[in-house]
Amino acid sequence: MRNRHFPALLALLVAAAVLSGCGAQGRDKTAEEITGAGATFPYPLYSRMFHLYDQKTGVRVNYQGIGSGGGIRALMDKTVDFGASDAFLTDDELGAMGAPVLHIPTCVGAVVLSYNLDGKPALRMDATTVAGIFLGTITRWNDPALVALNPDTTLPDLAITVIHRSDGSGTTSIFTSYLSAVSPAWKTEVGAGKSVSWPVGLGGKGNDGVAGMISQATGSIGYIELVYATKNDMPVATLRNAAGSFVTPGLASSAAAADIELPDDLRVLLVDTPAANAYPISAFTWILVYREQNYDGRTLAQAQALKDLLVWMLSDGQSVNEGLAYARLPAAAIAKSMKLVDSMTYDGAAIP
Amino acid sequence: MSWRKVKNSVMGLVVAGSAVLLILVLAVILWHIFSSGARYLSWDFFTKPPAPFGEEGGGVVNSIIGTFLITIVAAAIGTPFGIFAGIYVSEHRGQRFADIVRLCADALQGIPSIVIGIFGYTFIVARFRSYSAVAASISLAFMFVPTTARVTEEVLNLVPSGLKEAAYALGARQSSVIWNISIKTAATGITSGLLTSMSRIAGETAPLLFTAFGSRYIEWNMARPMSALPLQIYIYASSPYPSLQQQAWSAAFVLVLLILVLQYVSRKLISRVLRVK
Amino acid sequence: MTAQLSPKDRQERVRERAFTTAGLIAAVTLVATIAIFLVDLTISSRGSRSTFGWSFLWHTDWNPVTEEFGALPMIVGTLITGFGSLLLATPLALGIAIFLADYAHRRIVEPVKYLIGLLGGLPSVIFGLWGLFVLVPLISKFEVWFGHAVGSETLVTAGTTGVGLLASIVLLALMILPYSASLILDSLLVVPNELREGSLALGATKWDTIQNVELPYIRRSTVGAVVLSLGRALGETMAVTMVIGNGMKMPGSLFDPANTLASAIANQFLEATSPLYVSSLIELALILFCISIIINIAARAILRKRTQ
Repeated sequence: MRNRHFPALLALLVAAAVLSGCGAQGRDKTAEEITGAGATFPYPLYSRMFHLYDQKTGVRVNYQGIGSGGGIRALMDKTVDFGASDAFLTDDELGAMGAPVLHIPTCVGAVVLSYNLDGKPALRMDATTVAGIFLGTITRWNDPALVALNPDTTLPDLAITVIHRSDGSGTTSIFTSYLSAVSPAWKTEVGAGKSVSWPVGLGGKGNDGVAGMISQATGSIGYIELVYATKNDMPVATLRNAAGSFVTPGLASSAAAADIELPDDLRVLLVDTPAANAYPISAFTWILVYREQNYDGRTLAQAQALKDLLVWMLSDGQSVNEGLAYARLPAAAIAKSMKLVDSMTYDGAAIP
Repeated sequence: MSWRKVKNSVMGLVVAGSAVLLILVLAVILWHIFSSGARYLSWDFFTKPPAPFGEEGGGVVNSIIGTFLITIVAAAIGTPFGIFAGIYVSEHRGQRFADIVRLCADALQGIPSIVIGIFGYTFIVARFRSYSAVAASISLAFMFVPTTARVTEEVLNLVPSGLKEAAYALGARQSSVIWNISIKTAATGITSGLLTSMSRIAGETAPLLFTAFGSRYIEWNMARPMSALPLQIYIYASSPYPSLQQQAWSAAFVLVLLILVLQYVSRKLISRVLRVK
Repeated sequence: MTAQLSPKDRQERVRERAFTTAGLIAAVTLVATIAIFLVDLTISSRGSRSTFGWSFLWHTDWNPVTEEFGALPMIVGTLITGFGSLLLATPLALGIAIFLADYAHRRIVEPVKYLIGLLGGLPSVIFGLWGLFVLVPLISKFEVWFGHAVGSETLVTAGTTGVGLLASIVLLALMILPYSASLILDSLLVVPNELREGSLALGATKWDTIQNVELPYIRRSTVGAVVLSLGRALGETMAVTMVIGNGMKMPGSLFDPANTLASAIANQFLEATSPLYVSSLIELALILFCISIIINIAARAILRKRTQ
């Protein structure tokens, strides 16, 4: 019995095969599209930045927020043009990369403690209480330590549900570095890293996953990048910094935290810095690229496109930062970053 | 005697009651999925790509295109393998190697999609150093082939042997018999099988996680990263923003619609086959 | 007549050869694919296999920081969600199938079958979506209530977010229910009416007939359906990933977050930066691969015997 659908479907499939054949000739990565992957911490910023860049230059930047660990891994596997991470590579990781990797900071952000309580009270916390909560020694909201810091607020007799990251996260790295710096107990029991063995709590995926979980569970608390809290109208805690004052996370306090002596390779933590009005859990977030851009058949055009993007992000692109509550890079950081970008080479020669 | 009657009434009530309740629950679930998705469909939704962070609106046209391309290419890659394997097993029915092939098809069908995704990553993405829609299609093809092969084999087995014997008696060669008799007779059934397999792979997410990468942009080039509806749904569902969550529902609605259309056409074809028999 | 082939004959011979070769290539590719999968997974996981050996299977620590990886929490999670959902879904599937075959009005059977089939055909990620936004809040309410009812603070805390093993079990049960139910229903419908009528003629009640005639008749296909559903439940990825809560530790109760083999991979694979971490995840995939192959073959063998 003849069937008129069969030949039509076959033809469609054959056409599709031909189409895919044409499209899949080698790695057709032209300079019009740059792929990057990594941290969710700066995702809002990069999303806006790359949208602007596309409108300005027509170059599309496809960035996926899969976590800092994912960004490092993607760069390691060379499946992307750049990685993004809030945790700079350790010496071991640098070695594992096989070739020198540059860390280019793009902004200063803040990791905030956000929580879900009725009435959205503004709470104060300090190093001891935060460490206690995440170590599991402080288990209820009306714990004496919390009450002492917040005499004007009635804290409910409610269990604290801790939310942390379940994926390999630079935000975790920043947060646990802070905890390790301010709490000897944390440092010995848990330590710092992109992924740690949390004593208590539930895991969410990405900054957005954690934000989502906090917003859905009363009595929960978690650490996220500032803009995720403000966008969702979630309260954030004011923290006591190294100088002893209680600081609200925001542009000024992040910028103040970055006002320190910076190493040339810009691999530095901004947690618990000494400045008077610095927010204690501030951080750079970096774009990671290989210094030598001629690998795996990359073209000079691709290297140029990447360099142009980075230069833009360090100059005109910075105008996007403050609108999203990320602090601009301090001038010293930009100067050193530009030097790093200039040191990118193609076949050993500087990229025009 | 009366104990059994009592038991009969009681069990009758229990079974009927629980079944009706359950069916109602299932109906409510289905209705909820459809209504949540349909509520916010808009022209923008179908024609615009996602908006950058912070901006409202945007749509999923990039994912719709991606799902179409990735699914069709996966089917294109998998169809020859699936159909010919089905032909082979049908023609060599009873031989040990054919049995092994059938066994392997069954086994392949049961492999969790995440394992297929890992294979897609290590075999293609890592090797060619790039995420791409083609990698996604190839991974999906691994899921497409076994179901297609089984359906093809079963439909071919339905071809009356009398037809084939008559053809052979007239001096036709095996390939001619296969093509002109078996396949042409079974064509409707095979097409139906192809459509069903396509409807299944269109909804798969796990193989895409490690291969397609996703993209905010409308992409036609199969060698580049691409978005797709299941991937987009997964990403939006995990976000804390109600507007994106709503888009997840709407994207789910579109995906279900697509799958339903494929299944509807497939079913229509099968019923035509059955009617003729 | 000898030798010279007409061009038409030659053409046909070539086509003949092409056809047989194509069939053989496709068949061999299918078989080879399974082999390649096995080999690729085995090779890629050699890092963790040589480091941990067999103890990988029963180690309870999954710690990326200290680079200690053990699969037991994931294996336990997989088994609990798999068997749990099976336990929940099978009686329900039986109930629906019996209802449709023996109690329901003939005319509602087809539409209900369609409805159930529709649900069963929904992609996993859509179940996950529904599970995350509808099921999880409900489960959370239940868990918090239950925790208060038995006076357990830990249960109440664990139940606050709703994600975890219980949510996964219920969701998985809903996913495997349609397929199970339709398989059992199909085999019930094939039960010869003479058997039913004979039983009733002997004075048995309807339920007696169901219990003593129909159910034993479909025993083998029920077992097959159960095993197939188990296979699907064990390999299910997206829906479970979205509601299981990503626990890295051994779950203490059904309310706790956990991971299955599949969800652990889905969540961590793209971010594992050290070779040992990556190969451990691939070893999870290898374990999952082997489990699914065994169960699938067993299921089909059971189902096929029925028809012989």
